Amino acid sequence: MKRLLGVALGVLTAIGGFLDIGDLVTNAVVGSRFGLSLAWVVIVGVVGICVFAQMSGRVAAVSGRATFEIIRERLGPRAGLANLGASFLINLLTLTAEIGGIALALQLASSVEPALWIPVAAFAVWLVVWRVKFSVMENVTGLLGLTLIVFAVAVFLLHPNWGELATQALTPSVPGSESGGAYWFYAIALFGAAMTPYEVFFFSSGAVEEKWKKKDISQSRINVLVGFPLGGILSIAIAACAAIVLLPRGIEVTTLAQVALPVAEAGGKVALAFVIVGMVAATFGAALETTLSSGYTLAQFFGWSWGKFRRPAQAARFHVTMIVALLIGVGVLATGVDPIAVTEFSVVFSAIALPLTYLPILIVANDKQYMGAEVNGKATNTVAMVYLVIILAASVAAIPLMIVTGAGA
Amino acid sequence: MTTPVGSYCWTSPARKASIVRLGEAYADAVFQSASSVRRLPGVIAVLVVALALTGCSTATEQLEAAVSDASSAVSTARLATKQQAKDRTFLPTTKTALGDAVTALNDAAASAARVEPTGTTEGELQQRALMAIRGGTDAVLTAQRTITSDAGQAIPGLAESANTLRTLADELEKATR
Repeated sequence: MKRLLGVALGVLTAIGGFLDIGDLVTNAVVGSRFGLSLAWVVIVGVVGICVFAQMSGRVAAVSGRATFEIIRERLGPRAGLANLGASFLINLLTLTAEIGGIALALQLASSVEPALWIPVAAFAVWLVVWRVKFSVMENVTGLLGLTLIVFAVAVFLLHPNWGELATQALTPSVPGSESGGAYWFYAIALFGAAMTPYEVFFFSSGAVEEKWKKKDISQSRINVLVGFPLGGILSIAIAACAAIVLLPRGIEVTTLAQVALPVAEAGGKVALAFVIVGMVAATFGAALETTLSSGYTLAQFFGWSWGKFRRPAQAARFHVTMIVALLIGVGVLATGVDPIAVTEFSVVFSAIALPLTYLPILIVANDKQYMGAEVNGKATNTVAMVYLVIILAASVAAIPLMIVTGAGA
Repeated sequence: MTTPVGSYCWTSPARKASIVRLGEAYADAVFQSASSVRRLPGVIAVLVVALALTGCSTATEQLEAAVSDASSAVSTARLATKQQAKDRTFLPTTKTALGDAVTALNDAAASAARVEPTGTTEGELQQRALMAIRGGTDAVLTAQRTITSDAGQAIPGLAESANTLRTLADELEKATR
């Protein structure tokens, strides 16, 4: 019974923790412009993150070490540095977007300017990272993030034309008002949002924090293979809400308030309350994960002592890195830059950096020296190789498409 | 309708400004935290990407982008105000949506004003675009004023402005094809 509850909790937190500001904004933007014609990208992205997240979780459970530590040891400092550089910078961009996202979500409940919420949000993130137990932190934000299920409920309450939604999703095409370049630009952005690199590094480091052993592999698989796809359904629900309410009115999403409007339209104040709580929880949870990931990546590369299971004094450089990352994020947002613009760039640059994140994980997961009998099977490797090709194509196409389409304008 | 020949920027000026601000923000942040000039290539790369994104497009395309942004903002304000009038939303959420709409309309007006028309037709289009955007701004400002007392009062004005902007955006879009 206890084990069953553990599995259920893991799945629920995986669903709630799947969404972040990148998913919220990108899915709503896509829904308001392309309807459900890019829903297939979410499915491709979710399968990809499942493949690589369970792989990195397995590496951590078998070796007892986080993926980044092994990458540096296995591939050497030079390849490790390329991996570190890309991951750390993308992570910093994502952290900036998440802090901005918390501020924007709090503005919806208070109408207080985001500029005033930003330092409060960053301080709260630091306080939680400093004081709160890893498992408590992960479970509370994940479970509160589950309130975003209201997006799926809203789709039903809006009584859409199901046939039209199904046609958009099953026979994807570029809407007449949009260009092919913009369609593929947002396909890459959605893919980047679903496969954000920090999720994998956080997942693997979290496995070490929670002291996973070989016996925990099956539970981690269930968490990933059930939780992430259900999270993906929520992503599609966000796009569907935008497609039903905003697209016919000619509203293109550029703010977080617009993301919430379809839910209020569907379910009134109660639904809106759920969505605001969910947005705060999702962005706060992702801000915690990206803050920790900034410490994890740097500490694991340089061999510093790391982890929340250690007292801060025993992992001083790990904690200083996180504080500096938070201060940079606040500094960037203090310049007045639009957090939504930061979010849009973070998901696209995530896509660009994907090969540097996922190729090393695949190499390590096939190394018998670390994995013993738990190396990847043929099926996993085949799927992973297909994904590497997709990842590479997305990475190569991202910048040219960004320039040609004016970042999807 | 003549096809515009003037060549300006690929993206809408509002987006261009946002992209450059993002580049500058990261440059500032990196410079402030850098301990050596070794980070200079990274900063340059960020600025190059930001500048590369400011490609070129025609004056009419820029006007179309500005009017579409304005139309989207007014439609958002209309939807939010309707929800407020039906008591289906919270006041802070509506205030945020209306505040965001005003910001978007100001950006759209600034973008449209920056366009340099290459002929009389484009000059007239610019005037119409600016007038329509100003009409939208007035309607949203009215909604902001009346939202706490009688939210429904602003809805007809918002609806009229949204239709005007949508019609003009469609006309400009046809002109750019």
